[in-house]
Amino acid sequence: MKKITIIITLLFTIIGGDSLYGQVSMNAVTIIGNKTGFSSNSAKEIKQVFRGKYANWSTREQVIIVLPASKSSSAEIVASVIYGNTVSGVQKYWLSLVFQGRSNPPVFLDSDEEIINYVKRTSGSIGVISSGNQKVPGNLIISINN
Amino acid sequence: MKPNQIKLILLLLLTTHFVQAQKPTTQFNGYGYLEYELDFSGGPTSYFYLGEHDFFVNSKLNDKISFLGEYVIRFNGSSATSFLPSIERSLVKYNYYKNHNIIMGKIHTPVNYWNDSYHHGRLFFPVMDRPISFSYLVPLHTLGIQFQGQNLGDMNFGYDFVIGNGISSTDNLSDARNTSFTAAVHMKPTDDIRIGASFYYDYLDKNRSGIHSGHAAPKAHYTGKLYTGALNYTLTSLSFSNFTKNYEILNELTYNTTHTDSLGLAKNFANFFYAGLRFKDKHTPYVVVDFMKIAGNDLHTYPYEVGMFGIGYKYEFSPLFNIKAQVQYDRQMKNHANHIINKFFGSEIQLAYGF
Repeated sequence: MKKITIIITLLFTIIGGDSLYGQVSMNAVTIIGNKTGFSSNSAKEIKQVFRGKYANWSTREQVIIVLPASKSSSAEIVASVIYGNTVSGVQKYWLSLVFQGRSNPPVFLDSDEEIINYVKRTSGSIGVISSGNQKVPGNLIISINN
Repeated sequence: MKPNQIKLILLLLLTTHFVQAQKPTTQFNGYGYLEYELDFSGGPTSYFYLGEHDFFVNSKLNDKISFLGEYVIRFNGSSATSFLPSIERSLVKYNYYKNHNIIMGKIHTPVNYWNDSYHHGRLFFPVMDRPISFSYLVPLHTLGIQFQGQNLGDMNFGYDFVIGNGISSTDNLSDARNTSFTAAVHMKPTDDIRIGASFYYDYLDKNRSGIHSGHAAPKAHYTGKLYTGALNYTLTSLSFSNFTKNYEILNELTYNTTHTDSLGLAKNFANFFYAGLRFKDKHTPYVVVDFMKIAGNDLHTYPYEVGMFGIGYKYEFSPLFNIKAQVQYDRQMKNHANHIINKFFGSEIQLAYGF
């Protein structure tokens, strides 16, 4: 019985090793959008948007999701905060969703600056970057109501 | 409404959107796999196997219309080159309102989680191969029109209604007078859980199996005279999936009935169960149990009992490359009358990749 308890404890220690994912605050990221029809939203709703829940905004603009690519310095924090997952977990999630034909692929960009510039010029886009970036135009920022 | 009027309305809808067209954005992907099999039944045999290679294209034609295609090249002994291509999915999707779409073309019939999610991408398969029922009971494809809704409300409710060519048809014609009908619903109460149910109906006036009824030869286990009369075919499916960072569960329950005037109602069922324990993001040891029982009075699939138990291990090098190793035991009973049982024990290693 003692052996079984040890094995079970070890098992949960191993699989629980990455349980920190998803516990990072939304304050660690900045959400930016262009003509999404809202300037603030709840954390839950924002996460749903980035999981591909919506095809269109209330403005009838098409939802275009912009995410940091795997080599971006923001990739890990975004994967953790928005998806509660790892960077490869997020890639797998989108590969699978697009393959199912249930969503258009997101735009993956290599740096926060590229994401800001893309969102700035693309109507209907919503992006996420690490917080604290000084170059984000104020009119793009979507505040998060906790 | 006359067919010509419907065509005119559809044409107007499409034309309106193409006038506003933007530059299409197209994404190409490919998926393939390579296997090594070691079979201990009837004297060990071992061989490498080049699996099907899947070319996937997804193109956004404008804000409302997209195209999806899946083209597979797979081994076929009757081909001069040993391989033959096939169109597995080819569809145009029109997003007419919020999360509601109309899809026209060749689709994977949305009867269960597996057929609606994994298609021909071995990279996404949690185990080596499809559930047993896919070779016998599940109508894999439909060519027709699909009404789809997804992520509706807080529970992320979804629906799929399909009217299309049935089991007897090909991609070019159907000699049956009717079409098949599929109704499927699902919900995703959390990000990781999906629960679905579906019902499929088809009337086979000559009990023929066309190309939509499975990739394997569904009658290979049966050597008697084939029934060529009329038959009613239903398939009811229940799916449960829970894929988290730490564990994965998938259960596909399939209940099939066939009804003939001669032998009445035959009740068949199958169940596929998979459970994996994921750790350190890349490692997933798993178990798989698969079972199918076809009733003695069934005149479409014909009597058969087959079961499989396997244990395996999956390692993901990256989201686009994984390796699976599986050891499995299969048990087949082809004849209910004399209870002849075949047993197989083997192992496989599979490299699955995307590009």
